[in-house]
Amino acid sequence: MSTPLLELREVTKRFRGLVAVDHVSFTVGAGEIIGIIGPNGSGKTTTFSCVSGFLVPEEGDILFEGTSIRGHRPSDIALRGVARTFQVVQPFEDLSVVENVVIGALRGGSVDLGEARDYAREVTEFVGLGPVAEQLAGSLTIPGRKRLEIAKALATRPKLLLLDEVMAGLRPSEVDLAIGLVRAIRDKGITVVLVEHLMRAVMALSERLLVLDHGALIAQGDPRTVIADEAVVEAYFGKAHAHA
Amino acid sequence: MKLSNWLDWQLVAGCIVILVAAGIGVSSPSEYVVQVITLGALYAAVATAWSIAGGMGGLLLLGIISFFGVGAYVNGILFTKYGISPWINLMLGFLVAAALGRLIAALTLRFGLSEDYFAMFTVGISQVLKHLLLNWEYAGQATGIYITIIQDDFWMMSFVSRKPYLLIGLALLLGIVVITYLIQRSELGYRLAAVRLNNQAAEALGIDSVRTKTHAIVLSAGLSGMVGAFYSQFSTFIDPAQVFSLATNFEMLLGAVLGGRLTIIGPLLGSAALKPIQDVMRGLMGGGADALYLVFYGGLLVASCLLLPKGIAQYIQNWHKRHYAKSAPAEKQALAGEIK
Repeated sequence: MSTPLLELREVTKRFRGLVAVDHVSFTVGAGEIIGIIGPNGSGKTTTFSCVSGFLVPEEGDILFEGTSIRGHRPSDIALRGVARTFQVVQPFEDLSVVENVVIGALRGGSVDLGEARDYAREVTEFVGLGPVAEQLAGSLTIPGRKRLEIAKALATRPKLLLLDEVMAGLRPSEVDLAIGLVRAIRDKGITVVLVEHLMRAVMALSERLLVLDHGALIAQGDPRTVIADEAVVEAYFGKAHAHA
Repeated sequence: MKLSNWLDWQLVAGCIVILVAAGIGVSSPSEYVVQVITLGALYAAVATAWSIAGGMGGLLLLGIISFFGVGAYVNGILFTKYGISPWINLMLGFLVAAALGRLIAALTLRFGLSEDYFAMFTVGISQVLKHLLLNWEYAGQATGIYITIIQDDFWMMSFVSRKPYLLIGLALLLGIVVITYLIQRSELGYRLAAVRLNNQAAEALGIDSVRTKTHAIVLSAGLSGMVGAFYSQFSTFIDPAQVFSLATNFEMLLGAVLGGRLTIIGPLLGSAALKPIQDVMRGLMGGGADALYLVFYGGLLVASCLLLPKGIAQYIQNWHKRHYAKSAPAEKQALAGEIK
């Protein structure tokens, strides 16, 4: 079997006594869309933070394209091709929308500014922010900010995109648009891992579903099979429902 | 170059201010006026150099005087002991101060010092340097270094008249203003804005925040060192208490802060306003009660901090925006310069 794009091996992250991520192992193949679900506090965002280098796991290893990236700087991991969005959006508020995207397109300064501007313009159009490109990022609405978060990450030309709750706070019609956008991203050849609470979006997009509960991976596989799994139902609704 | 672009406008305005200062200085019969303008230019040059790290990079590089002082001693020592041309020493002052900046960056950023500790560290370094030089016999200890100028010699930057120094000082200022303009327009300007506005988001997008901050510190440090090297040649006397003075340090920073540290022209305007005001006040209230003018000067600073929290340049920028929005509504505004 060929090397997976991303591989987590027994990754464990503790915050003092609390085990936020507990010996989690999984692989992500190139071209997949994978969903990660789990109740609040189950370790989804912490897992993303470990992969993107903002947190360093105490145990285990993380491999990207077969090379360990554990302990690398977030900027280094980003340049290797792992881009992430933040659940709490992080725009550069005093810069315009397209300037925000330029920062991603610079790839840490290795791309010429003129070229980065052109590419940023393209990405801004692609995510549907073309009409507001010159506005200050701080003036965007919530859906706009979520799109900007995706645009900045995409501008770094990632191989793997980690989307952290980009659908949260969107209206149903906006969710449909966002689902279309994620599919379009995958069609560009970018592998997507999404953490999402919104089941409609998760089920529509995921080819494979992982379920975290209290930091541990309790199920993974085909989405429809996984959500019917007894342990998963129990994690979400408690024992009573699981046996009902 | 379009005047409707805020960055270009600032560069043009900066050049005009410098040219006007040169005109006044050259035509003035008063050696005192020449002296005030030259010193004002040097303060403005350091303030502008500081704004690369302190403004664009959002770093609390409070102890900028360290680099100025080191540059001053580079020329002081090399000129008097080895007869090396001050023109070369400007470059060497840049390099030595930049190396010191690199060292400070390595010590503070790699160890992840928080902002306030970083600020204190940089101030602390200036006092460590002062005491090292106070005890360094070769560099004259507390007596300092005297530079003797007997006759005009361009290569040795020695002039009997004060006016050539005025022009060199203003040229240095112009050079530093152009450098900040170029940085604002460059990829580094974007990196600095990203790191200043949101360090975490910048890292997530592949910007190495430590490397970016290091670049800013090295540039601010090097340019301040260059100004310091010139200062020693211009003043013909340096000692540790003077070139590592914290009072001077904060006076230089005040120019940048009052003028607007996120702009190109702010530090220039702030310093251009401060130095003459200080001297006029000293003239009016000076004499025996030397401290009296400082009380008023301090009061003026407090008032301006309260009344102009974002600096003078902010108001100019607002005016500029309104003015050109009227004349050309669809005109695209400056890029990385669109920073509040």
